[in-house]
Amino acid sequence: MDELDKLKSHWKNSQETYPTVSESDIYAMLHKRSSSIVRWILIISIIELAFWAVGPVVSPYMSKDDLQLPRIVSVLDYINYTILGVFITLFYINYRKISAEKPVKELLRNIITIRRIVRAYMFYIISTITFILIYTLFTDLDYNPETDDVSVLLTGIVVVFVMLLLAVFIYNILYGRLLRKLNKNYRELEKMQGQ
Amino acid sequence: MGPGIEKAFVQQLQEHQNLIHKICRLYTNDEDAHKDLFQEITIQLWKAYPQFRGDSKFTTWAYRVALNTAITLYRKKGRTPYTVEFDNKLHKIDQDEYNYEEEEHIKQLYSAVQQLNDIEKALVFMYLEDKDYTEIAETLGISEVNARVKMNRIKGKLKKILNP
Repeated sequence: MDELDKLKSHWKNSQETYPTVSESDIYAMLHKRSSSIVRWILIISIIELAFWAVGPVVSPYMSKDDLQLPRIVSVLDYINYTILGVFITLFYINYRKISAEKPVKELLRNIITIRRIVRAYMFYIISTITFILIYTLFTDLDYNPETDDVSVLLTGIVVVFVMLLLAVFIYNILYGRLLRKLNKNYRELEKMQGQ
Repeated sequence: MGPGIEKAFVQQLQEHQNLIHKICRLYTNDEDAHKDLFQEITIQLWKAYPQFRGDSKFTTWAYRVALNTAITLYRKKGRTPYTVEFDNKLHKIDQDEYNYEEEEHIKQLYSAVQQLNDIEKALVFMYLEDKDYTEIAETLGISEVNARVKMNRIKGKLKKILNP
């Protein structure tokens, strides 16, 4: 008889003394708010999508001439709307797939997919902003030859670098912590499958 | 959902609450975390209840949702150290049935299971609940062969933990 079988015979025969949860306690629990990872992911993702979506939504109300933004920004606005719509649709479809009744691996995969969708959207937006910054930088240098080339270029590089650093920091610290458990458990199941 | 459905759910959960306690017992190591996980499982079960069609037993459906909650959805509120007091309190052993030595051994076994990862604990739970490998594999979303292989490895791992 191995160790686990010893535990099994105890598991079945012993009289466990767990604190009894009354019906009224259960009723009260039903109306409490869930603190599940999915709920947090949903809240964070919505905030994130809304935050990154603010640019394309508010930009039509800004005067492009005042801001001296290049024409390409207006074109990107329309592309952004379309891409935002695609991401929201993908997010919704995948969110609907999340169910605690599914096999563990499938549930983990669905939740991780949701995060990947939001992350992909964030990287798309960061790439767009980076592109506009670099484009504006070089356009500015072309049209204003009197500009101090080196200082403008350096400022541009620093801004882009800080933005990328900030994105990596947020993802590694905040979401890395939130998803650590999910990723670890998913990797464990993948490892089992590979054995 | 109407009050009749709510009542039926509460009654079933109350009747089978030991199942949920057993899962909480494996996945938490203090009383507060145990209560916290119990509550989260209850919420998740209630949310999933409209999909419960009664094709399977309430307990079969409930343990799957509960395991998914413990493995995937539950978010621990900070780190809590393993406490022996809790272990003794929640896991009292019938003195007529077991002698002191056996009692100590069972405690060591529980302590060893606590050291396993979330997926391994799920396998142990289903093994202790006498689930067959087809059901274990289905619940985890892996193949039956992989479930068997992993179970044997867990047995070896527990032996190592207990006899370092």
